[in-house]
Amino acid sequence: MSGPEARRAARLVAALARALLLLYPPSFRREVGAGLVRDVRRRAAELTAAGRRLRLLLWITRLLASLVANALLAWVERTGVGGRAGHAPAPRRRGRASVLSWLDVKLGLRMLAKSPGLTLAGGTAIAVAIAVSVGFFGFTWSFFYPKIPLDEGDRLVGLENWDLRINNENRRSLHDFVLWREEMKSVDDMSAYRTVSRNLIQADGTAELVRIAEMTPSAFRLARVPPLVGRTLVPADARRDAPPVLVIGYDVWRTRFASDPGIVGRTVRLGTTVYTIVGVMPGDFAFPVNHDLWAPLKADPADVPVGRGPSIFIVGRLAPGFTLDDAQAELTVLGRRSAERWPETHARFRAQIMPYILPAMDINQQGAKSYLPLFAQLAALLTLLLVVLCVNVAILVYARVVTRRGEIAVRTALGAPRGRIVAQLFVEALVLSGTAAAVGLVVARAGMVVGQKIMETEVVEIPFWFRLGIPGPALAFAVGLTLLAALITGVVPGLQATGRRVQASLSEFHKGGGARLGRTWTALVVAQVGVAVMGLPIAVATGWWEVRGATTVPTYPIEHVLSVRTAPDPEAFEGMDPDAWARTGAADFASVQHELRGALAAEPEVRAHGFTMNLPGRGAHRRVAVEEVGGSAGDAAGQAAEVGSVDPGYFEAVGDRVLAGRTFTEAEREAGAADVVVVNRTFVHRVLGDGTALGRRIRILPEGEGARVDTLPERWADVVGVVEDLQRNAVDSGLLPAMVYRPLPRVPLNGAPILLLRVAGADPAELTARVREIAARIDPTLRVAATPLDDMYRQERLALELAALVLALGMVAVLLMSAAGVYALMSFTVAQRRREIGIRTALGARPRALLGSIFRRAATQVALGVVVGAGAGVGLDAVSGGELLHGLGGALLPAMVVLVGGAGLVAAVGPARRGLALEPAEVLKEE
Amino acid sequence: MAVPSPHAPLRGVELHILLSVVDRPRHGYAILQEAEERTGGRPGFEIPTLYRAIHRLSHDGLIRPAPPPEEESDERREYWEATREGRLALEDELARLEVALRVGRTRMRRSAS
Repeated sequence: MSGPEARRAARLVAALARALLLLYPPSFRREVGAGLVRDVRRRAAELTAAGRRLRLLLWITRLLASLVANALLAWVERTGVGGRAGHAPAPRRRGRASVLSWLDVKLGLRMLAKSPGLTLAGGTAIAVAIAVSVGFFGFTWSFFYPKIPLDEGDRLVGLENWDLRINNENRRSLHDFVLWREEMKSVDDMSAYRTVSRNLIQADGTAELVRIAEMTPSAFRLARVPPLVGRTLVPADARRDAPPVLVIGYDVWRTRFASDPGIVGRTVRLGTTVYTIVGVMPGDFAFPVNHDLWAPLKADPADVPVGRGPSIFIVGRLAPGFTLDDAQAELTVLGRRSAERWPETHARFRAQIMPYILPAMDINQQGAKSYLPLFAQLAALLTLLLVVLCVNVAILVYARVVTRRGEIAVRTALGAPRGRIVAQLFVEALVLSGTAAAVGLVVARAGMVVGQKIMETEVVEIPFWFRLGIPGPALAFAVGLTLLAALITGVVPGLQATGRRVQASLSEFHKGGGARLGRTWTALVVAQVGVAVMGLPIAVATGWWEVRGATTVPTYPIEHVLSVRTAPDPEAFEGMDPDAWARTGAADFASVQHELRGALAAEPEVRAHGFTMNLPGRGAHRRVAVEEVGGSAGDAAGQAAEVGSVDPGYFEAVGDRVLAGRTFTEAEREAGAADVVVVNRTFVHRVLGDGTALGRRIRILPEGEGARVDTLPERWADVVGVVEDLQRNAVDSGLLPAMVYRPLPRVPLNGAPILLLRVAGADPAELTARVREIAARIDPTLRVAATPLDDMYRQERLALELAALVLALGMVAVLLMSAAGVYALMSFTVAQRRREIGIRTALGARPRALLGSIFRRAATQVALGVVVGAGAGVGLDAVSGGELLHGLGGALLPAMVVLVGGAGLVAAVGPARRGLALEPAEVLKEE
Repeated sequence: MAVPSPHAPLRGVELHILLSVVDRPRHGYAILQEAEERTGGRPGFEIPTLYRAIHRLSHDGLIRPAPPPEEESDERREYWEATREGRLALEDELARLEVALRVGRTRMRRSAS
């Protein structure tokens, strides 16, 4: 970490310490607070300068826990010492043993059982907050600071060139790799790898796409894992003329070769090359990222100019006695030398070294440097969530403490120091928050297990080191949060109930007054309601804007369509000049595709087939100008439309109905004619104003801003047909695409088209194996992905539905929080005014009038919150130019006012009923 | 037998503070560094605990603010020195530890032979 960064991190930690110092007694802050903050800052600066991030983070966690715990103990000591003013020396009492007695814990457990409502509501809130916090923290930590399960895994590093011009890494660094490997003393076993995809061709001719790590043989030395069978790669394997060899993973050995003990020496065909298997690696070995096939990287710098060649990842291990900073210093010197030697390519490069996982996960070092603030921000946000929830719980606890004023008064009269009473309330709260934290941790842990399983099945390329869990720092964070929760929910109400006014309240006790809800809490309730009224419409409008695409549903028989994507073997065009590819490669590939289409068309289940560049209902976003009936261009800048390139079979494959005219002819397609187009119903409605479409002429404008039809050479396309829309949207027809279809040339130069097959009498998924089989027969190196269109559509919808679910959960959480605030406030009011309610009921007051007077204050706060929130919402929307509410404010804001106000009312029902059910005689008897 | 100090036994952090400030004034960070040196980098307490103990010992009259020594005058820092009562408390504590040390050594020797 550099000097300025170290200073920044130290300042941040010191600011945190200064903020937490507010929890300490004023005398402590005054007398030793400044010294404490100064020392924290100095220690943080020392640790950051040492560059030991992990040690620093562990220390910060310990420091925060210590700051919180000592704050509590300082208060206890202050009261335990006797609340003396000044520095007069006096024998002190040893308070610690009496602060945390088992009796308090037992009392705490009894209180849990005695107030089941409070236990359930408060406990759930704290448990949820801790589960969410630990879950987020643990996930982020596991992501950024994983433990690499290899010998000295924490000393593995990645090296790369950072290109300052494009602000990205440059991996065409074969020459650098050779130089660094020879020159660097601070990095051992330097190796290079790249991942390639090839078709694994089975004995029966079927092909399956697999990923292979092509790496220098030294990478096995780097991993320090011996093979299970045979050998790993040796330097001789990487020579240009060496026969191709392959090391396979345990699973491949077990599933594809039935754990054949004589595996060494067997051959396997990958693409066009036949490899001899020389070894099997153990089951948990997936180095360098998530691989199970390893071949030598045969790349010779002599074959490629500097800055060209394969794109490689360079890795190594810090040599004994060297730190990352030492290695960076050495690399910087080498980088400068390269810049002098190869100025055209390397003058703009900065060579950099970083922890192993960063390049593998495509996280750049610039991003990695911002981890510390990221963690600080994350921790602060999560702590804030807990604080907001705990404030509500604290109001509830305070309401209960108010009902226990009698007990407190008697104990104070019998000589119990204030610290003792506050400590008891703290322990009671700690029992609640500790129990809730235990539940929260169990929930978070279960979530991690499920998350790991989902990632292992859904995310194919999950790195071998990624293990979701609750690491030590996350656990320490949870402990800190638990203590903080207990402080807020136990000590704050305790201090309020036993404060300076306690003597006054003792005398007022029999009059029923005394306890009051502080201004801060009142402001918090107003703020909560305000945030709900302001934030919910914004969240709903933004969310709706994002997920409304999900309301567009397909009207064509999607469940019968199979999409087949194909790609040529990368070996076929590796290193090929783009022009040469256009001249020969593309045509060859197109003929293979057409052969595949012909063979699939002969399958009995296939009813129709066609090529398209885009999935149905999608196209390239372009602007389209329409020729006026008189001959001139109407709107020269054109209107938005989606342009798709399809062949004549496409319309039949998706079962599209022709509403007028015709689709393309084979002749138009062979010519790759650009002068005929077919449009859909929405295009006619939106662009042509429902007028006649056939015979009209349109022009697709080139991409880019400012293209105008009047500046282009005359080239119009005739609309020869109109087809039905492939989708409908019951909510907003404006979301349907205005489609323009043009004929797809036989040999497209900008990508491979998708083949769509309409299948009858079978599930399209059943045809996928057959597609692969036929493809392997035609060209074993052809890479094929066959997916039912329905599956793709479902996956897309799943993502949208997930977003909608998160949005809904967020809304419910905010609503519950504001309802909890109102509930707590109402409960408190009833508890505070029991005596008054009793007397007034006894005197014959009407229930409605009584209710009105009791809840006027709470209602005022809710109303104030609603007004503030609605005003802020409207104001923010206006400032953002309507971007926040997307024009939905008129409907959403009043709805949210009703919803939040309603939640407040519902929350008030329970306490109100309790208030009205008070028996006057009972209340007066209590007094 | 001498009357035991009302402060006995001292907590670990308190012992470290008194050991550091008994011969000359020291500031908080110097106390922490000395404690780390004495314990091989594991003093067993964090900065907030140290400062709470300083606050407590100062309230109990065992240490008091002092002017910084001339050779390392850093006016921004608060220096602390042991009071008479602090020295007595430290003496008591050391005597107590000596007894424990003697008993422990004797018994270890006996059990070894």
